[in-house]
Parts: sequence; structure tokens; C-alpha cells
Amino acid sequence: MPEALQVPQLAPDDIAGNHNILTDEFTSRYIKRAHISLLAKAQRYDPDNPFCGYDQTFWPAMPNEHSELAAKVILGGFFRMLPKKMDRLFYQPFAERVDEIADSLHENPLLVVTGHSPDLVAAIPVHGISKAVAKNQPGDYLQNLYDIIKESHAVGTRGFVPLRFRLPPPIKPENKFLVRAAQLVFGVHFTFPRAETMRESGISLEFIDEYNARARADCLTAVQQPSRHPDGLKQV
Amino acid sequence: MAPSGAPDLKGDNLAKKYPDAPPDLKIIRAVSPGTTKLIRQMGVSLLHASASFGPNETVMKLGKIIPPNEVTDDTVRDMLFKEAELRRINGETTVRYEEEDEILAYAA
Repeated sequence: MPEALQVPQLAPDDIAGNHNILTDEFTSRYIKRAHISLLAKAQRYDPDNPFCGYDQTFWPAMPNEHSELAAKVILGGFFRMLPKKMDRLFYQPFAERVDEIADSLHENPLLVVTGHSPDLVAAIPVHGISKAVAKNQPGDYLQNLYDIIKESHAVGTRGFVPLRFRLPPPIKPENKFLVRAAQLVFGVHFTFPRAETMRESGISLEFIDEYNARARADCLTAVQQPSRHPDGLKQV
Repeated sequence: MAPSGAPDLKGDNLAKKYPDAPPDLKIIRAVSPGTTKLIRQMGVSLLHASASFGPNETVMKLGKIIPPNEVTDDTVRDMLFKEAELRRINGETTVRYEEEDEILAYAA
């Protein structure tokens, strides 16, 4: 038997236990490592919180006027870059090819293939393409941004079970939650990664596999849906 | 998406999987046949956005957009070979893709 499997595993139906391994062992550490503690917190299991439910694998994105700022703060903090440099490196390449990208999105959904070192690399093109496409379209930039985000982005639970992004204090309670987001990027095949640390955490591998299978099926269904974008653009 | 679904293999995890490999290697994990199959089932175009956070410079390079009818079983793995190459050129000299001959030799 491989060494990793010698760690006692929780039962697959122990949703609270498995969820709390994800938040305590992974999400909290991830938030700290990504320097987004002021913006996000891991949500431990709460049966009354719909984002702790496992019947759904993702929820619709709900962009607002703070979404771009949130993305800039998170990505800028994580990659330790000022906005100007981020724009030059991570937005400009997409802006230069936005006509080609938009033409492609009229035909088919677009999957952007990236590396995974460091974390959050996959979030860069999602952000860059959304912004470039929104700026390239006629009309109101923010509305264009909302349209492409609503078509393209989903809020997934992934290994980073409901993160709640919020503005740093001081802030009025009613404006506390910016984005009810879990992650900027959703791994299609391994929504919960089957990394060594995951196997050694005691989380139920059956729980992971069942969830991944459901997420894969949901992704396939979602990507094949007709576009709801006003200009017919498909998903990024 | 990051096709391997996990960060580079390095440090203790590298030593566990490839005990004979130099300890400073960073390996971009192989894309699984299941992921390749899923991507093809999705019927999407692919765009490779390779990034390197090198010791001196950060770079991002975009590939060409590949329509679904031109995506083959090798398309994504070819992208990951290129990803490793870009990172090496940008000063991340110990980065390899898991299906490079050098790494396959450690697995033998």
C-alpha cells in the first residue's frame, strides 16, 4: 500500500469533516500565502450557508463595480506587482490580440492553458481577456465587463471552499462582501487536486473523486450551453 | 486551466517520486490522458498563455488560438513542453516537463 494511503481517511459522507479539512488545511494556508488575509476568509462548514452545500459544484458569478479592484488587489498582492506593471505584462498581450480573441469567442468557447507555478497563474488570462474584451466592445465598459464575466466566470468551490472576498476595514457592514467567490479559476478535471498534500490530509478520497466527477459533468454541460452574452460571445 | 491541476513537483515531493533526480529540479506535472480526453470532449478552442516568473524578469507569451477541430491528443502536452522551455530560457533553469526524456529516465 502506498505510504499516502496509510493516513486514516474520513468517511465520504462526513461532509462537515471533509469540508473543514479543506478550509483548515488548505484554504487558510492558501489565503496566508497569497497575502489576501485582509480580503478573504475561509468559511468553515455551516449547514445553513448555501455555499457549504455540495449539491452544486459552482454558482453564477455576480460581478459588481468592485470586481476589477478586487482582482487587481488579489493578483497584485500575490505577484507583488504594481498595477502599471501588471497591465503591461498581463493585460497588454491580450489587448494586442483582442480582435482575434473576440472572433474566436464568437465561434467557440476558449480554454486558456497555463502553468501552475506559482498559484493563481491561471487567473491572469481570465482577468486579462475579460478586461480586453470589455474595453474592445462599444458601450459602457463596466456593463461590458459584467457581461463577459457573467458568461465566462463561475464561482467554484474547488479546494478553496467558499472564500469570501471583502474590503479591508474600515468599511460599512452592508458593503462587507465584495464577491462571494471561491476562486478565480476552476480546474476542470481535478477540481479538488489529487496532490500529495491532499492525500495525506485525511480527507476522503472517495469524497474528492465523487465531487470531481460531478464538477467535470457540470463543466461539460455548462460549456455546451448556448451563449447568454448580448453579443453572443462564448465562455473564456 | 492548469492541466496538471497541481503545482510543480519539487522538494520533498520530488524526492518521493524521483529519488534519483537532482533536488533542485522543478517538474511541471504530466497532463493525464483523462484531462486531454475531457478537453477534447468540451469542444473548445485552446490558447496557450505561458508565463515565467524568472529570477530577473516576468514574462507572458501567448500562443496561437487552436480551434477545436485542430486539437489533438498531443496539443496540450506540446504546450507544456513549451511552457518548460520558456521558463528555462527566462532563467528558471531547473524546470522540466514531466514527459521530457531526462525525467522519463529517472522514472525508469
